[in-house]
Amino acid sequence: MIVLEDVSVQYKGVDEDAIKRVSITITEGEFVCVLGKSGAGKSTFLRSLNGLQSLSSGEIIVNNIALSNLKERELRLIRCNIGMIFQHFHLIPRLTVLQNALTGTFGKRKPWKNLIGLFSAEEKQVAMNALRAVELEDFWNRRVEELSGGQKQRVGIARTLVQNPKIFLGDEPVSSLDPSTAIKIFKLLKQIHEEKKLVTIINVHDVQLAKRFATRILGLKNGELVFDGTSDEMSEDVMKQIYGSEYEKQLYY
Amino acid sequence: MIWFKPKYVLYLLAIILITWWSMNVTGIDLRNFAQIGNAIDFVMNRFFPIEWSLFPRVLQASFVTLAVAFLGAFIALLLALPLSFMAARNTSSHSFFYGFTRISLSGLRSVPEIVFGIIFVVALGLGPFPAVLAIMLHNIGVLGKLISELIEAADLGPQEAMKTVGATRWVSVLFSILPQIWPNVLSHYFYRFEVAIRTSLILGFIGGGGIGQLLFNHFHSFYYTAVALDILMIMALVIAIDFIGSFVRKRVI
Repeated sequence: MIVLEDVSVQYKGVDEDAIKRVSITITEGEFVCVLGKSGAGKSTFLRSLNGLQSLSSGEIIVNNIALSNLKERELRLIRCNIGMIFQHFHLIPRLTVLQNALTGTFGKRKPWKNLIGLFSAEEKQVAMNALRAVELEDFWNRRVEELSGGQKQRVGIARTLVQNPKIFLGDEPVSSLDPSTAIKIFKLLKQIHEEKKLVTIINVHDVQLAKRFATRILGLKNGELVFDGTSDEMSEDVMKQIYGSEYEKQLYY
Repeated sequence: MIWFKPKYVLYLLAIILITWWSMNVTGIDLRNFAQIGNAIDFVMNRFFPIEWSLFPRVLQASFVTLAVAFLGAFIALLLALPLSFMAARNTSSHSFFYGFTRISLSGLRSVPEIVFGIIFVVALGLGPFPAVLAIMLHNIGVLGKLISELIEAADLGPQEAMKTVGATRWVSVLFSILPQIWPNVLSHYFYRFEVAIRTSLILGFIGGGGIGQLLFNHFHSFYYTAVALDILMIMALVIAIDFIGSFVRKRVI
């Protein structure tokens, strides 16, 4: 469970808050999509949930642990249980698919073991199982540069599966993929979400994807939470609230 | 003439003026080119027949040169790698270390090998060892700067991904950056190795051993047929290193 209490984020040298006094509770089993224009604060919101972004005020409580005032070591332990995927995948170049999946174990191992890359048979098995789940087991020995965008994102998902997380975050994970690959990735995420009973929170630009997959939709505008509801409640007025007068463009999407 | 602008005439005049001034200062007189035939005569008459009987000795000396260049550049690489992480803005743990390492590397770089060489020959005596030290010190400065710039230009994405799986700071830094920069590190190393071979020749002139010292001695005793053999060997050495370097780099990429 994730609780945000009056959370604000301000970047250095910027007067306006990137996130303005957001208070919400996200519970187990929820598949949340966050909508908003570029610069609305979606990424900042997501990155504050695993402590990558520190808060200027307020508190975030993840599974009963308050994130502010945690030491770096304690934050790392929290992050071990929060998987995250990215728009540009952020895989380690020149390593194979399996090696990339294995990096998901890094938070739970001794640093020197990570440096020399010694993995137990059990860890390799966990990584292979994750690759099987994203249908990439036959590609385990390929270098990640050789893969397509959709395949790279699936390696990213496998990496988080190896973490065995309770919470899954996606920072615009399908923004650089074509529409049909985007739907496939979302189907996979939804399937994993249901099998593992995760809390899933994903930033997305495509309103239709959010409506189709999300159990709950959040709308951000200039750092403010302007909508919090289900896809059925996404009316034209709500769209206008989130995207301003340019919302029509979204309809053509 | 779409590209032509009247001010280009001024630029051209300025360049001509600077060239003319530089030629004056360095005493270049185009009429002297009429005597270029003397140089050709000198090479044709005095360098042949090549003194092949000295081949074993020259070969042995060239191995010394190779060893000096390899050791000097390789130890420099080993020391420069950790230093360059301290001298890169994005990985240095503190701005003090960043500034200090940066200035130290510039200091090492600004002293030419020949100066280090003269100091070490006086302090440690004649032979290849002072040459290794001289090449090593200068190249720590050069490689440290080049590698730290590669680190600063590396994609930050993988580092963020390693943070989100809970990896420690140094594991994140090494795992995300080293694989990205490795091919370029190697190509810088091989280039510096090639330069070090030429440098060790010069260091041979001041008593640093190897084929340089042989060349210097042969020249001073007017033994030009042996000089010809020395020059051939040096050319073979540089071409061989260039070939090996590009082969290794191709394998690594």
